Amino acid sequence: MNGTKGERLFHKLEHLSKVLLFDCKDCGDCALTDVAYNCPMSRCPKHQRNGACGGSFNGWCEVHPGKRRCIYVEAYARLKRYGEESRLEDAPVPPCNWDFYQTSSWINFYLGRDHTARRLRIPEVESKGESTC
Amino acid sequence: MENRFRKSLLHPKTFSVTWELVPGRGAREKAQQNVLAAAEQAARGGRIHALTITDNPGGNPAILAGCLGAEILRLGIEPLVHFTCKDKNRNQIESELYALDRAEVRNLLVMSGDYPAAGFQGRPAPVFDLDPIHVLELVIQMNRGLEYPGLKETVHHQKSEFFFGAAVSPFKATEAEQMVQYFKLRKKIGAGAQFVVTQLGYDARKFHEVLQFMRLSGLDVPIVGNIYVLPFGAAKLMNQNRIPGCVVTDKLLTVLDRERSEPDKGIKARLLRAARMYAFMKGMGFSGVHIGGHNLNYEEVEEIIARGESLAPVWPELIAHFDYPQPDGFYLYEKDTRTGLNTEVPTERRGRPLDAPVGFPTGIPGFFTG
Repeated sequence: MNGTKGERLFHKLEHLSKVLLFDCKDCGDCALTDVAYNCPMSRCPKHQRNGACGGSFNGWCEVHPGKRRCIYVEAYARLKRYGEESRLEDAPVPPCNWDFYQTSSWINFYLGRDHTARRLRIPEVESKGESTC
Repeated sequence: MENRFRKSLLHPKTFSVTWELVPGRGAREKAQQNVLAAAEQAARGGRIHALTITDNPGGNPAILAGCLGAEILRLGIEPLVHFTCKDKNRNQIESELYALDRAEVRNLLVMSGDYPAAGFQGRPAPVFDLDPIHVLELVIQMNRGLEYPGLKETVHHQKSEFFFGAAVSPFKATEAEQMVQYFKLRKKIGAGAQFVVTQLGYDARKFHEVLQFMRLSGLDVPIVGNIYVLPFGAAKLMNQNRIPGCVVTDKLLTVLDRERSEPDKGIKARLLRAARMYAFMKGMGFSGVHIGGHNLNYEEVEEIIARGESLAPVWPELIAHFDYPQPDGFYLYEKDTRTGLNTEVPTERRGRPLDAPVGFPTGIPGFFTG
C-alpha cells in the first residue's frame, strides 16, 4: 500500500471517515487513542495533546463556554466508566510531526512512523516507493 | 551571576516573593514606562525576589516579555518571564529561548496561554504548535546541552541555565476537570518543571488541596501561591467567567460589593485580604507567593508583605476568611471540619456521577479495554 497508487485512495477513505466521526484535520500523527477518541487537533482550540489547559469552567471549553465541553472532561468521563481514567496520565504525547500532514495516519502507524507506533515499539518499515510523507 | 529568584525558591527558610507586571501594547508608551519605574523601585526596595512579566496577556498584543525582562535585569532585579505557546510555533519558541539565554533572562513560567483574542486587523491565528509539556521538554534538553543530528555528526550545544516552572489550577468545580489538572501537573513535573505556580483563587481549602496533593504524590518541587489583589470590577468579570480560569464565587462578589461602598472604595479591605492570603500560604507551606493586581503599586506590595509576615503566626485563624467553595464543587480530599481545610482521606471517586455524557461509539462496553 505504501508508495502505491492505492495509498492515495486509502488515505482519502480514512480521512473521510474521520472527518465524519471526529472532524479530522488530517494531521497524519493521530492522537485519538491518547484522548479517549477525542481529537485534540479538531476539538481542542489550543491543540492540547497532554491534558486540559487551565481555562475550562464547569466542564466547558474556555473558547466555547456552554457550547462545547472540554475534550479532557469528556475523555475522563468515557474512561472513568471503565476505571481507566488514569490512562490520561500515560507517557507524554509528543507534538504533531508536520511531516505527516495530509498523509494516512493508519499507514504511518502500521509502518512504525508515528508517535503511537514508537510508543508501542512497532518497528519502522522503510518505504519502497515514493511516499507522501 | 547568581539567580536570586532560584535561590529564594529553593532555600527552605526563604519565602519567595514575586510581583506581576503587565507590559502592555507598545514600545515607548506609558504602560512600558510604568513597568520600568516599578521595576526600579522594586530593585531598590529589595523585598521582591523576581518581577514576573506577562506574555501577551488575555490574548492581546504587548511588547515581548523577554525583551522587557532583559531591561529589568539591567535594573538589578530578576525577571520571571511568562512563556506561552499561543502565538509561536516550535522554531519561534526555540529562537526566543536562545535570545533569552543570551540575555541571561533565565526564569521562565511555561504555560499554554490564553486563546488569542484581538490584534492587528482582527483575531490572530492561534498557534499552539507545542503544549507546555513539550516546551518543558525542550528547555530541559537545552539545560543539558541540546543535541540534534547535524550534516556529518551530532551537534552538541552549550548548556543553558533556565530555571523554569509550570502552572496548575486547583480551582476546578468538576471532578473531571480537577483530576485532569492534577494528571497534567504530574506530567509537567515529570517533564522537568522545577517549580509550580497556582492559578489565582480565593478558596483556602483548594490552595491546601494542591499543596497536599503534591506532597502525598511525592512531587517534590517548590509551589508558589497566587495572590491577586481583587477589586470589584475584575471580580465581576471573573464571576461571569470572562477571564479564563479565574474563579470568583457569588459569595465573594457580594463581599466585594459591600467593600467598594467604603470611603476608600475598598482598597484597605483588598490589601488586607491579600496580606491574609500571604500569611496562610506561608503558614501552610507554600514556598512563595506571586502577587498581582491591576494598578498595584510598590508601596502596596510592601504593605502586603509586611502585614502578611505579621499575620503568618496566626494563619489557621485566617482560613475562615477564605471559605468560598464553588456550588457542588469537587475536592480531592475529605474536609477537615476542625481546620476548614482537608484531611488526608481521598474523596471516593468511584460511584460519583460522570461529568459529561458518554456517547457513541465510546459508550460501547470494551471500547477502551479491548
